[in-house]
Amino acid sequence: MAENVEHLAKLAKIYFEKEELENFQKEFIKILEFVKKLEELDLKEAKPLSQPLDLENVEREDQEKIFEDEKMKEKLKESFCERKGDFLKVKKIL
Amino acid sequence: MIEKLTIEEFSQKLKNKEFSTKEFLENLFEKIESEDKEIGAFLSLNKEGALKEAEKIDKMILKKEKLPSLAGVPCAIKDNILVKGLKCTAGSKILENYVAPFDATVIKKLKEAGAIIVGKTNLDEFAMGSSTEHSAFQITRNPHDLEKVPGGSSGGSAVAVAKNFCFFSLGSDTGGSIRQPASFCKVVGLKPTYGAVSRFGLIAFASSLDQIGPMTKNVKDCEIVFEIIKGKDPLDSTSVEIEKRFEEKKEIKVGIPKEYLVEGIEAGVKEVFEKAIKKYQAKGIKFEEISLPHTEYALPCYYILACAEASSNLARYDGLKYGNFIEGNDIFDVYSKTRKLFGKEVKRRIILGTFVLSAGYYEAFYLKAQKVRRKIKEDFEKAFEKVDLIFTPVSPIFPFKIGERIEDPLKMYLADIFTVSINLAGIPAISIPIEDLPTGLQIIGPSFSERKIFQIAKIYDIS
Repeated sequence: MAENVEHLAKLAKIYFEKEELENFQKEFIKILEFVKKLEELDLKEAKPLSQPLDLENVEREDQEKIFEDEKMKEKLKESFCERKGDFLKVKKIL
Repeated sequence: MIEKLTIEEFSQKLKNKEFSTKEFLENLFEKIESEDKEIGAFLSLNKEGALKEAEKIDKMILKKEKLPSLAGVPCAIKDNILVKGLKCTAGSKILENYVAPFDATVIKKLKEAGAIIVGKTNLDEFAMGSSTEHSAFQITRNPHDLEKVPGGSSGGSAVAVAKNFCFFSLGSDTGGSIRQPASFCKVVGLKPTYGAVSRFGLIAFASSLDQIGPMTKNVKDCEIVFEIIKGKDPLDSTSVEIEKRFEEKKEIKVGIPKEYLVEGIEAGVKEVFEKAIKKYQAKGIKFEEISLPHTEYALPCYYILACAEASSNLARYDGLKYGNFIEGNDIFDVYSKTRKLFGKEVKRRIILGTFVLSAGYYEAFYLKAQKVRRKIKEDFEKAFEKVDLIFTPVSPIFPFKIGERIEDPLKMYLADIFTVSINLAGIPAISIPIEDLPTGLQIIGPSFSERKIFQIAKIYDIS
């Protein structure tokens, strides 16, 4: 099931045409074969590495920050896909 | 005129009033407008803005004010880096009309240094690709052979430098996207140490691998630009200050990994690489064979991790907050119809990323790849106990024909086989052109050894 591109496309929220799906499915099997090469390695002792510098979490006080640049505020709102006044308009969820 | 100048020479001539900034920029735009039609380096030009900035610099010169270090220096920016007020498309239909509301930190730094942005350059969509053919808008041609690709994903940035449309450009490098096009277009390109340059304002592809870096005509210019854009940024928690100073050693030892010169390397690439080594030997540099035993696992490891991160990063394109959107019946319909705007390669990677992160497969793929990443990093650490730097070719192949690899994703991925390990390990590497051929020498160093890399790269550059 999980190797099924149609299912993965649903999880990733991407609409695919039927013939597109067939091509992707074929390619996907090949790409999976390619990445399965890692199975050759014995990794029982290995520790995973999630980013190269082994950085510590950077934390800061959770403080309110006022957006002073009025123009910037407006610019961000202008980027909204759909807008109603100062609000980002979205479809009904419930 | 720009062809023969370095950044320092340009600054000197500007100060000597041999030309004005505005004059220089006007000539440059004339050149770009006539020559870029057949090449396709730029997605958009910033002519009006650039000329305005040029006038400001000229006023400063007139008033004999102190000029910042890059005053009037024209540059080009990859279209996945935000420049306030300019479109930033990332080469994607989904961001076709997106205008950046703020400057990336690197852009802020360049502007403070007086650099002038002439335009935004073409790239593979969201920097995913090795040929710039995956841009949703246009292809970019290799200026040295118009039938061939310029490499990618920073193909437009490499070409803008190669065609002398600017003194330098910025690219981004997740698995080779600065070095490989630099190599294909005979220019210099640096992938800095992970964290050396702020990623704030770079449209994210794979956050643990992405780095912004300079592309230039020569090593000295590359160093100048790097010194300006580097540094810790409170807006990027993974950025760090480079503190380590490397003493200039008399005797530099360079390692050649035996795993890099085996099968799959195109005829001629090895010979050119060996020529470069001979030149260094003549300068007294010592070489020895080393081993990076996990080399063959780097590419599959990279694709698992990069795609996993991409599938998460690209979840933000939902047709709500910004970018294009397609109307639908309900919110899920809006999501999936909008995200259909992604190109083939981007979808391919999101699907793979979604798979390796899904329940039941996470450990077998994602976690395993993270463990291999550690092994690859350790390979390099061990190697750097014995040698100061490592040399490899940048790419196993010469520039290929437009269309030749686009239908075969695995074949396209192989173009990055010598560059991805460097991003996995987070270390810096430069690509410098070897003689006048479209294949670069990759000089790799330990974390934060950029100065040492420049020092050695200059030897080849000067001779």
